[in-house]
Amino acid sequence: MDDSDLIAQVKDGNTNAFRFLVDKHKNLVWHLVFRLINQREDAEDLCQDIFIRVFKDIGKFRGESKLSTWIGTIAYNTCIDHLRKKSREKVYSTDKMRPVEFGKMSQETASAKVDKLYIKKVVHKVIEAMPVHYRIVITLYHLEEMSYKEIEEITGMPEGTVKSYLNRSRQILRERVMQLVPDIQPVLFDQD
Amino acid sequence: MNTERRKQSEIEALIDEALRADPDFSLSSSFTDKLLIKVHRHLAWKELFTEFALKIGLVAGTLIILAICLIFPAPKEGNPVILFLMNNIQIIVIISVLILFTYFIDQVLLRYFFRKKIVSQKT
Repeated sequence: MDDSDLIAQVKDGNTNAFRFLVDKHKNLVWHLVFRLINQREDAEDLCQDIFIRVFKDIGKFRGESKLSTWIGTIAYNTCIDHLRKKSREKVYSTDKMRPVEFGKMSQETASAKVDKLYIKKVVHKVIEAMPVHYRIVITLYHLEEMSYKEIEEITGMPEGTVKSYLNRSRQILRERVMQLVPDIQPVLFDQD
Repeated sequence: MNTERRKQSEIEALIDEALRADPDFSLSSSFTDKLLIKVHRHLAWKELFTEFALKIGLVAGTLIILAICLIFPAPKEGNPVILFLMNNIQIIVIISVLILFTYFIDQVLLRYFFRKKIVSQKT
């Protein structure tokens, strides 16, 4: 079933078609919500709100963009509204990183037990500490494999800004990973 | 120099791998079912409310036509229908609101909650 058939059926109130739509796009919404709000408790409720909004507003979808991009835009806007309401962080701050909290992990590093799983955790922690706009760009580009154009449509940021955020976030990641896992190089190299 | 480059590319590859990895948590398995219950509720509310609005519109339209039929043929001064309406406007408004409210409760709210109960029993 292609997107236009699916949309037509959802517009007619076919709940089975809507179930199909949800199953097809729930990972995209979940990834965005989880990475943006950094809170597991609120994340699932927010995902439900997003899909309810998709269902209510599907009549307004004119097919000018891909369905996934349109759903992504709704998810992004809902998350930004949620963050503004909660005021947990300044949504528009672009360069300030929160401190990365690791607790026990730093001690593990000392014992040189650096494996891929640990580096994955480090990367995810660094992403969590990044400003909102870096997190969204990194998630859409790497996890959802979206193009610059699609990211521009979802976030409303110009393509140049998207590229700049991607480069900057990549740089931050590289620096922070090296900083938090100082013995990363020898250990990884030895594994070869 | 070559070794350094190799190390760097290895780190880049690991960062890439981590960036493409799914988050540690995922949506609950019942996510879609819970969502569809909410959608059914939304649809039920919309359907009941539209039905109610249509019925009220029909009754109101009939009453307006009836009033026109009663008011226009009669003489303008001392029209008994207008006089009755003017003298009893308060009681007419109160009775109308009460009827409307009761009808809304019966046709929309009670039916909505009844459907909601059936859906939750099924699931």
